[in-house]
Amino acid sequence: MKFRSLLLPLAISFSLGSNAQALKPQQGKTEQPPAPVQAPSSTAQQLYANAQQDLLQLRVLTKSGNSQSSVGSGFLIGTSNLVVTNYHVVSQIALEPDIYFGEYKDTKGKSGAIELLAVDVLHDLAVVRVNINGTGFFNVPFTAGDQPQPALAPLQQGQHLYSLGNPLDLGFTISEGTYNGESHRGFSAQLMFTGPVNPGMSGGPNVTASGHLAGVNVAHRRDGELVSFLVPAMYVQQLLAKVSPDMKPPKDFNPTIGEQLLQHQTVMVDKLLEKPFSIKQLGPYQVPVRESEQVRCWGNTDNSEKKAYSIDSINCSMESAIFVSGELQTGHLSMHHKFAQNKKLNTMQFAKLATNLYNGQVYSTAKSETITPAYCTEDFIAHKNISLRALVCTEAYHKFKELYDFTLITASTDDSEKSLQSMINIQGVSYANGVKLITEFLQGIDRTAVNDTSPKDVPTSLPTSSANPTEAAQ
Amino acid sequence: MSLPVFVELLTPDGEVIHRNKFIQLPIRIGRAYDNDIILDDPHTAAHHAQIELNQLDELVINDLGSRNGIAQDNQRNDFFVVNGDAVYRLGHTRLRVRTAAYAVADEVSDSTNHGWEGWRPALLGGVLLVTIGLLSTWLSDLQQGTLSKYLLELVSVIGFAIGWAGVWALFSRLFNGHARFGRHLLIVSSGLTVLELWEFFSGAIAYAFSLESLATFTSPPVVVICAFVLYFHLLTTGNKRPQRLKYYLAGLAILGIGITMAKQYQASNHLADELYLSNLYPPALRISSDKSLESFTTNINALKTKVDDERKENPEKGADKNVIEKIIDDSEEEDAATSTESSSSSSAIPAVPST
Repeated sequence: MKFRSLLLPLAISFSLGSNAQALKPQQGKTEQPPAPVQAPSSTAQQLYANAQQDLLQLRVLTKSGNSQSSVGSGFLIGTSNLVVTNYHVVSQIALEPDIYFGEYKDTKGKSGAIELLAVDVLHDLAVVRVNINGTGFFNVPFTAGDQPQPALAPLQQGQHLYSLGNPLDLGFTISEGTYNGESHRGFSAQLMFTGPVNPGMSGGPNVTASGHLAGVNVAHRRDGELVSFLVPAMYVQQLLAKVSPDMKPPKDFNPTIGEQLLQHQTVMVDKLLEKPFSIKQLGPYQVPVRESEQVRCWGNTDNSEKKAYSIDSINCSMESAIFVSGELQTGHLSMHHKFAQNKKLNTMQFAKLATNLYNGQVYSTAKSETITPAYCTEDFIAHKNISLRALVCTEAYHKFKELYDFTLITASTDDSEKSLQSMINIQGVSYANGVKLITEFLQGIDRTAVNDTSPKDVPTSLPTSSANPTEAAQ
Repeated sequence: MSLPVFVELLTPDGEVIHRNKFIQLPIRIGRAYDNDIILDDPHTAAHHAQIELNQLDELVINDLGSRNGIAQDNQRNDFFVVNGDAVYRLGHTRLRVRTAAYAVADEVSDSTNHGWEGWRPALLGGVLLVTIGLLSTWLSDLQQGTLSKYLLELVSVIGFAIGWAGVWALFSRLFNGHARFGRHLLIVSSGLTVLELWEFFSGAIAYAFSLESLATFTSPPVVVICAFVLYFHLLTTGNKRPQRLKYYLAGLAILGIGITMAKQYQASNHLADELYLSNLYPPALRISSDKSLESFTTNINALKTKVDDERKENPEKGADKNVIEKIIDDSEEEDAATSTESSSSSSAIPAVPST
């Protein structure tokens, strides 16, 4: 995942006390937003003046040390005592209520307890209850229950939008930017907002000039400039439809989260398998890939004259994943193909090269709180024109029933001068779906009839992709 | 009764420290300086024992009324009829008494190859090292490395072997008076060679027959080979009880394998060192046949129950616990409020934009 969640991990900066001060000038230098500073628009001024009453900072603290673990933003809905924020801001309260609790702080510095009512892990939203009421600035029309939600004012590309929140725990801010359509890299749409959204603003509102809620701040691309993402307001409507101000919150959110993840994986796998994998050619081998809005592929060729062998690779990966906790991101899939061809090595040396590519790709751990140790099966298998060494490992999630991770790695065993190695890694799917994906993938690996020396077909290399930091939220 | 009589002072292990020859009886033993054998053992009396003939013309060892007495096999007695194979303990001193008529054991046939010392085994060891070192470097040399890379590999392997053999030679010299460096070098070289060969051939066999266990349990064979190397080193150092040594080393090897397996199990929930067979070999070495995709899928489905069993059960929260939590919640709210105030005053919050 190339998104950076806007949750600010404060453990470091705050435990050191004076660091908050020291951090400030530095951040000011690096995060200087170009536009809004010189000429503060009167719209932003007005919006902030009206919205500040309903704007909150949400903090997650440890029960034992009473110290801050993470900080995000939130906003009061209408005149109710309900606050909308990101799930990832309050994920620790949902998963480990015995260790963490939350509190809010408003723009005047007043604070109080928060109570988690509902979560939407897939769209990264949560609703918490506080002991104050909103002034009615952030109005989100919704109809309770499963009814269709009232339509929201459509957004136009280039339209001004304003994000509010408390970036880097420095204080409440409003930042101006423009709306730039929807991004479909995930399995549910996000709005693209070209404007500064910084860690700590997670869960903060994003409004139009007329004060209508456009979305909720959720992430920004670290490898881009001002490329930020919002959760569309329609998902806020859907979540609000499920809560009421006087409801009793569930004691344990794990079953709810597990259900949502299970629901997501069905959508994900159906989408991935709606048509057969497309087949690419790597030397004499045919390999399955999936290229779509959600899964991006990158190719690479390492064929320098000095080397005694060449390696072509195709890597496909979903750009989004579902954030469950700092240790667990799921609902993700990636595929890798490596095709090694011998140029100058001895057969035994080439076998060693294949070994180096094949080994150390799958691990089992007995120490994880989130996943079980891996169990594997391996064999030589033959299929169509190819024979392979194949390994499948699977692990289950301790807290979420019916969800598993799968890894398949294969190595071709039919040629002493060529080696095709493939891998598919699937996270957070049902067992049946995992097996389905793996068999589909395995069936896609093949070799064209012998004596065929067709040229390699490798997608054009985009060097920026490999340099992208693939980082976890927080 | 045949003279002369020999009285031997022994170590607890039964080796002779000192041997005294007597052509006259009786022989007086004790700490006092008027004895024939003067003991430096404070646990013996000034006049502790006397070796003489009794009325039956048997050689006996008599206790002269000492406090700690004389014992054979931990049986204390006032006197013993001397047996050439028995060891008598006086205080902390061990004695053996033999006459000229004592029949010694047969000559042990010499299995030691005396020509096989010095430079010959050292040279063979060196050749083994260079061969195996070059071979393994070449096998893993995928970047077509330069000569210097090979030399560096060789130097490090040979350096290690020489250092290792040197330490053992030092031990040999201490215990045996004879360093036998060449032999030790041959032993360590052979050990390293066997390790390399095992790694290669066990992997090849595992691949050929699809024997996953042979490929994934990598450390037990290494431990066993190390135990063998240690055995030969200790034997060369001059160990006189090879049988007992074998048991010790077997025990040590089992302990070592047990520890590595326990460690591996704790880390990965698997006893094997590797999770899967990962050493690939050329297709020509394949012997086992291919399975169908269907049977492989069946195996994948069979994993489900195994991983499901590994899931930790979700602890059900009782009503009591909630009450306690509630109390904690309340008390911490107050704390939180105070800490918020202090942090808000210390951290700089920008002022609301002025109108």
